[in-house]
Amino acid sequence: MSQELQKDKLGIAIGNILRYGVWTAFFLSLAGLIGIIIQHGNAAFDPLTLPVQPEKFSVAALWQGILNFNPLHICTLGLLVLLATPLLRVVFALFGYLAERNYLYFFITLIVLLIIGISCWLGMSK
Amino acid sequence: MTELLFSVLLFSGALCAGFIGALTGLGGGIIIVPLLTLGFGVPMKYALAASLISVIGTSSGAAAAYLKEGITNMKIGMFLQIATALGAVLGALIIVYMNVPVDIIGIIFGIVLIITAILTARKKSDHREPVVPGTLAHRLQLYGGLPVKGVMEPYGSRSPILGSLIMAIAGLLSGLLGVGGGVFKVLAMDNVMRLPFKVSTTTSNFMIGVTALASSIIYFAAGYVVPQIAAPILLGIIIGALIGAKTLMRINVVRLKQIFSLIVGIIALYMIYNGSTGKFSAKQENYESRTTER
Repeated sequence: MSQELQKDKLGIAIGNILRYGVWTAFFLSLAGLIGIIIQHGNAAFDPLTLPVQPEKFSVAALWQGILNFNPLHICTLGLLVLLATPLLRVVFALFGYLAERNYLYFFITLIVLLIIGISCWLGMSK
Repeated sequence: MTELLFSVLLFSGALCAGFIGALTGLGGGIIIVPLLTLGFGVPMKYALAASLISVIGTSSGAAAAYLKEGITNMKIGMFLQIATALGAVLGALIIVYMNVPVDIIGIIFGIVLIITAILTARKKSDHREPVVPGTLAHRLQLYGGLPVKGVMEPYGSRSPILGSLIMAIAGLLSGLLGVGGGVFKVLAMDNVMRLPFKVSTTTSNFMIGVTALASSIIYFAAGYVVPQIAAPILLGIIIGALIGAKTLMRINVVRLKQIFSLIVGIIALYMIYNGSTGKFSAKQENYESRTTER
């Protein structure tokens, strides 16, 4: 019974991560979007002029933009927080299974993390 | 169109998509891509990226509520995640780094929409598989308990390998088409692994976030996530899903699902028509020539 209770606690904790993560992302991207509209609200935006081959995402450029309070980069940060939310959930589960000494699921969760890691590496390096 | 008008229109469209998505339990992803590409002329890869981001938003929001109820089976979700994540990464790599003609993506999208509509309209049966020690599903700990009127009812599962295969396809479609692929995930857990229906739907929702993460990282890194498109869509779909969830208790869901299946069918035919007559690539060529002129 106590083990059941513990599992439930893990579930509730993960549920909280999801909630806070989504709302943090929501308000960051909202703030960024409002900033973009204040700066360029009346400028034309035509999605057809987006480049066929866009510039690759750069952590350095993002960091620089956040330091300068560039609304575009604050918006991007919000979207990154959103991406980090399910990632954090998997990391949390990894430690949860380790604490439960469930090594089979510790290993399975590790594989899932590895796939996400490889995806990140492929995306950044290609 | 000005930046302000564009944001407001995208936000409103996503609001409707999130609302309908929450009412029908289909998420909003399948409406976002047609809306962006055919409605606003957003190039396909940018539309797929924005849609994937919105999928993470809605699934994480809903998953938080489900986890509280304790029906979601985290182990089954994590085990099947290996297959979906692999499929999702492959799908995203194909779109981002191989030159798949956009018209073909549009046609595949339409076909998948039709399958989705059929699967949604079909009658569901609730399974209760016994827990059999010694089977592969048992050794992989793919079982659990479902609270029914305060009592824990145990349930097992079967065919974890076939289930994983279908999950890999669900992931591939998610990465290729920028959708959550929830309907295919439920198909694998419900019809193949024979899990209780409530467990299949909540666990599927729980998984969608990670599936979409695995593929959207690739779109993100390649630069296809544009805040001016992704942010209004995300904001709209979150608010729409919240309103939808609150409305859900007051209306007839069965009739609504039938209407929605019909709408999805019409969008699907429209996507296939646009794809087979080369409308997607016509837009693309148009802007390619305009950007090279500069």
